[in-house]
Amino acid sequence: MNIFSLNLRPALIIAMALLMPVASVSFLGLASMGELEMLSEKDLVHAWRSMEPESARPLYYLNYLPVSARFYTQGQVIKIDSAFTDLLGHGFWLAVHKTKGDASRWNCSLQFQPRRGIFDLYLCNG
Amino acid sequence: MNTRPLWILLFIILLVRLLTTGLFPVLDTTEARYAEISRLMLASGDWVVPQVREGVPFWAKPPLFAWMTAGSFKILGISDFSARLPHFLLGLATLWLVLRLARFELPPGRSLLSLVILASTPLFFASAGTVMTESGLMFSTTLSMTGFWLFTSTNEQRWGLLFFAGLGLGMLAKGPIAVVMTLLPLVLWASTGKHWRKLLGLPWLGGLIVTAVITLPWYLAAERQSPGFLEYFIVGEHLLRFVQPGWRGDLYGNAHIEPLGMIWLLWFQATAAWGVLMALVAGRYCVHQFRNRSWSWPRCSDWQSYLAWWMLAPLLFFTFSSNILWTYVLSGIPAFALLLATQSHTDSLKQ
Repeated sequence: MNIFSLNLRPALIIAMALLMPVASVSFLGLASMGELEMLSEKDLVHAWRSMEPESARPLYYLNYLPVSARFYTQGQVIKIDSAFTDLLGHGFWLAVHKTKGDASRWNCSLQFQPRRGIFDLYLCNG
Repeated sequence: MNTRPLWILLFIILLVRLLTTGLFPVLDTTEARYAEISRLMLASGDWVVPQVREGVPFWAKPPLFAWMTAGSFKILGISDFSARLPHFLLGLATLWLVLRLARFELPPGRSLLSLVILASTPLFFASAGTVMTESGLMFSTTLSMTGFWLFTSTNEQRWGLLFFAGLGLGMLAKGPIAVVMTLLPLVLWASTGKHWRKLLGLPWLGGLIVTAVITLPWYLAAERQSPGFLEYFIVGEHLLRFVQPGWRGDLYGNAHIEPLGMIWLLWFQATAAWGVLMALVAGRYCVHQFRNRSWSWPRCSDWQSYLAWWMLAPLLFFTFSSNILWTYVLSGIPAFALLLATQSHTDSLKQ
């Protein structure tokens, strides 16, 4: 036998070949149960669209705007910071980071906490 | 012999990959950025200079990924599935190239085994269905390496020209690094095996014209429409990015700072259990040589050394770079799968 040769038993080939399909399905399952963090704003954007189908009240992201939010809103989203006062008196939706954000500057109520993503969705009255 | 079990395995792997491409959202930050650039390409109607935000050019990568994804958006509409489908198809095309190459050198069972190995490596599995530039790079380098080997084996000009077409596509997929990832293994193979005549025998004049026809129109149009692109992309992205740790010229993200040599560990992440098997074979060889107090260069066929250099090229190149990602080893993964299948013998694959 050549020193470089490798004996691959059929069971070993099957086990190793199916590792990735099994891992990917498991990953999806865990992610859908909220056990794994998936960095994407898809769920939040969908929630905003379902609660605001005409997009009359805009969606803002506080302090940080993930690219996926731009992708899923097709560019209809803006980043604001805590000093932003032009919103006073207008209703709007605000995405606030779960741990680093603070929406107390405005009169907001929590509307949606996606299991995937790191932002929560608030409805604010300005 | 019965190759049916291997076909079934391959079918299961690809089916799961296809079905899962649309089941999870486009992820921040890299994939979402490439998907958004593609969406903006379609929305703006500007198919020459990709944009990272409206009116802001994206100079960091050539446009092949955006052309594919934007084209898919145009045909299928904007969705997670349509964003990833072109990259899955590129993965299929790469598998076909590997099969074409394998069948020239290996019996049917091992040819098919190489596809099963390739398709089930974590990096290939991930890239064949992720919006990124690496799937285009892998396809183009595989096209060139397949073209070169078949050219040297058959002396048919069309394979030689295919080698240069791969270089051109690589320039549109990832830029000059595609040429490096193709020429580096060939130079090492020619140097260590005295194959310079084969390398120099390529149809260089006609081939370079093919490469230029594929490459130059877009590069010139992009520089004309967006002055400064070439300096940023060629000097910044391909030189300073790798030689300056924490390069601050990155307009679109942060540099990735890893310890030197980390690319070798990332290779294990990319190949997982298959890579461990390969390492065991290499380790066994080292032990054998140590016991015999013999440190001669391993005796390999031209085919084996060709695959070995192809596989090792990205590892050697990025060993001294700290600004790396695990995806950087992807261009060598098809060679890894072919080499592992070449070295394998199993009762189920007896010819």
